[in-house]
Amino acid sequence: MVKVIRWVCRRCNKKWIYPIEKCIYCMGPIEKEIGTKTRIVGLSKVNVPNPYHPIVPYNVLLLEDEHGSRMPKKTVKDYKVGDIYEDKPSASEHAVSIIKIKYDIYEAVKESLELIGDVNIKGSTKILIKPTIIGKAYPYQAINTNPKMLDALIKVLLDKGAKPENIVVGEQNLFSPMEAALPRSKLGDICKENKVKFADLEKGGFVEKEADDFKLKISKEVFDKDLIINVPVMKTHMLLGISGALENMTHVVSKEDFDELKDEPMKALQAMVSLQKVLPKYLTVADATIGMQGNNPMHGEPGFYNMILASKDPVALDKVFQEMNLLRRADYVETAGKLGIGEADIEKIDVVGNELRAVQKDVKQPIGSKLFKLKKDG
Amino acid sequence: MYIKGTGMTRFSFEERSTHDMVLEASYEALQDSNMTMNDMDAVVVSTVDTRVNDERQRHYPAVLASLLKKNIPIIRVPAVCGGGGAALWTAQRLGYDNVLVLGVDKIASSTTMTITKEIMNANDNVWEQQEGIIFPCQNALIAQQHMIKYGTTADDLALISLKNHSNAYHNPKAPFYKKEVTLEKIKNSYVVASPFRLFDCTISVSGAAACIISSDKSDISIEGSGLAVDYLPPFEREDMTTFTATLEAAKTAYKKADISPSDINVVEVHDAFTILELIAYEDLGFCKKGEGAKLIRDGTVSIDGKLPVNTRGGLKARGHPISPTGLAQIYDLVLQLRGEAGDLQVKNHKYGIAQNIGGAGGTISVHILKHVGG
Repeated sequence: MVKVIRWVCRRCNKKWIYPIEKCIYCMGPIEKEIGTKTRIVGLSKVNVPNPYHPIVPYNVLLLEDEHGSRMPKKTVKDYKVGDIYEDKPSASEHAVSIIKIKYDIYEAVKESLELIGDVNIKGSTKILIKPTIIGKAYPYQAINTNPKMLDALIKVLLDKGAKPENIVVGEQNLFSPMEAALPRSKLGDICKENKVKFADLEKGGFVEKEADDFKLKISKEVFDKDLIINVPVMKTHMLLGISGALENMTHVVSKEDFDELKDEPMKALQAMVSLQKVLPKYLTVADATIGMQGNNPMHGEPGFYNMILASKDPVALDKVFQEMNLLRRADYVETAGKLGIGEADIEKIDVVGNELRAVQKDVKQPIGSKLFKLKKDG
Repeated sequence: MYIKGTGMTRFSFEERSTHDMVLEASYEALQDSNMTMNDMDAVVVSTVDTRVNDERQRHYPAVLASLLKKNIPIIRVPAVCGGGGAALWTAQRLGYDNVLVLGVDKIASSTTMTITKEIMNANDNVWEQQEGIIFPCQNALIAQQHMIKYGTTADDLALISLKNHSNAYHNPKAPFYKKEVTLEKIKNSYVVASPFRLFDCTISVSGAAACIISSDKSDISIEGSGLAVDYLPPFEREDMTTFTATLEAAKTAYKKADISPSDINVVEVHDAFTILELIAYEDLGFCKKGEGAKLIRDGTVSIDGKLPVNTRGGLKARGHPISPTGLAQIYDLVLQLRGEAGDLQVKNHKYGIAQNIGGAGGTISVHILKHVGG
């Protein structure tokens, strides 16, 4: 399904395409109106490319819902005026949903899950949410998971029946003190507001697991949950190509093991892939709200993707992120695909919500710069 | 208020700085008005925040102070494509006796891809830009709704293009001056965003235009002016085929001028895309809603018709450098009202009207000018 969202004052009979708290006329309450039965009332085939939409031709559909509200939708498929338009969920285990955020992260997160078969949650379901917290940084810097994203995800889970006491947000900061990073990231505030526990994985226990040639100590929190939701910030990466779903779960490994591997990049990449074999299955709801592009981790910059990606297959999700941003292949993602950890063949990945070809564009590539060396030498 | 004088550069692809262009337009306007910069009490300027050229300059009022060597109020009024008209509307309300109104933009300065992206920034980021709505597409969807609702055809739009190119053939300030464009060429041109072909769309050029308004009487009076703003994305409006901002701005202007549409002799409308000219016929009251196509089919709006529209090529063929356009319309109207339009002179020229649009119906100004002799 596609959602046409409006914020409505029933008293004044006015609609907004942006979320507002109260009606500017009567100061009365605002209701969210979501249309899902959409019909194509107009379309235009565009043949002129631009940097945001470099692949032509594409079609822009003008959709109208059951409330008479309209929205445009980009597609590379052919339709005609009068057709019904709908985005159907995929039953594939490798499906990846790509959702553009229409000023409402909650609805985008919800839709991203619905399109990959949704999650089954009961009040007793124990949930671990694993965000990214790697630095003392403000949300706009997109180094850590966007607090709005975490807030939306928790609220979606609560609305599906989860109990706050059964949700743990757990992360281990392998690069800087959590005490400094957590407040600056605002993620701690979100946990408090939603009455869910934050767990610093570094301070919890670890269990040792054998993963191929590696013995890795992995946070206990990972093994006593019914559902793990991985919430990486999607980034380009100078060394890895991308850092996303697979990379974010490496932070459940003890700092000791992580530090030992980080000076041996090739070995670290192998360990990253092997780790996936011993982790319980997890769902990824990826934060590409702002995300990062360019020369991360040294000189990355906000990507302004304005999207949520979700999948039960982290390999497929990383692969889709790489393809949608026209980035070079990430070797560890390909290796993970070959080892059967997930699907890395883009042709075999069912992309839902938005077509891959319709969202493909160049972002700033992680190619490094001589400037870094000059700065260092200087 | 009165219009003392006007000036404009040729709208073109020339590699000139905005400094050069703004000075050329100002010299002409000052000469035309028999005034100098010493007489000016204020300057109102419209320019967009373009980042595609080599100037990388955002503090334009101070640039103008350096250029004009004046320490008077210089006020910037950006309203994308409707900036020139919005600047003129604003200048009349400041309470100064003599105001230099300027529009300048250097748009022809990068690749089509980059300029397309830059212009797209006038659309809603989330609902439109991210869904691939470039400016031609935004207006193409409007055209399609008009076609579905009223039976307007691509052939009707081609006739508007042909008319405006035929007029621009005789306009030395137009990029299509002395360039013949046939109906066959228009109809066979590349599809930019269906149903629009290349010749349904204006051309991105660089240029500047100027106008000096004064409380002191001259031969051209501004009889009425209106400005109104509508929701940013057309899809948010109840009816995509009419521009409420035009209706509102025109209502105000007609009322102030105390005339009706039937009193108008010559028209300048914002034909950035051919459909916009046709919708303007309807919204300015020259025909009933949905009957705009009749005016182009029966020749009413031709240079020798009962109500000539875009007599010097319009945006389609005179070019559209964004902010200067609204003032170029005034330049063209003043020539007509004074009877100085040469080969393009219309027979009756007492009242003229100009409609300037920012975005796809977002910010619209309407000005009614009258030749009062002298």
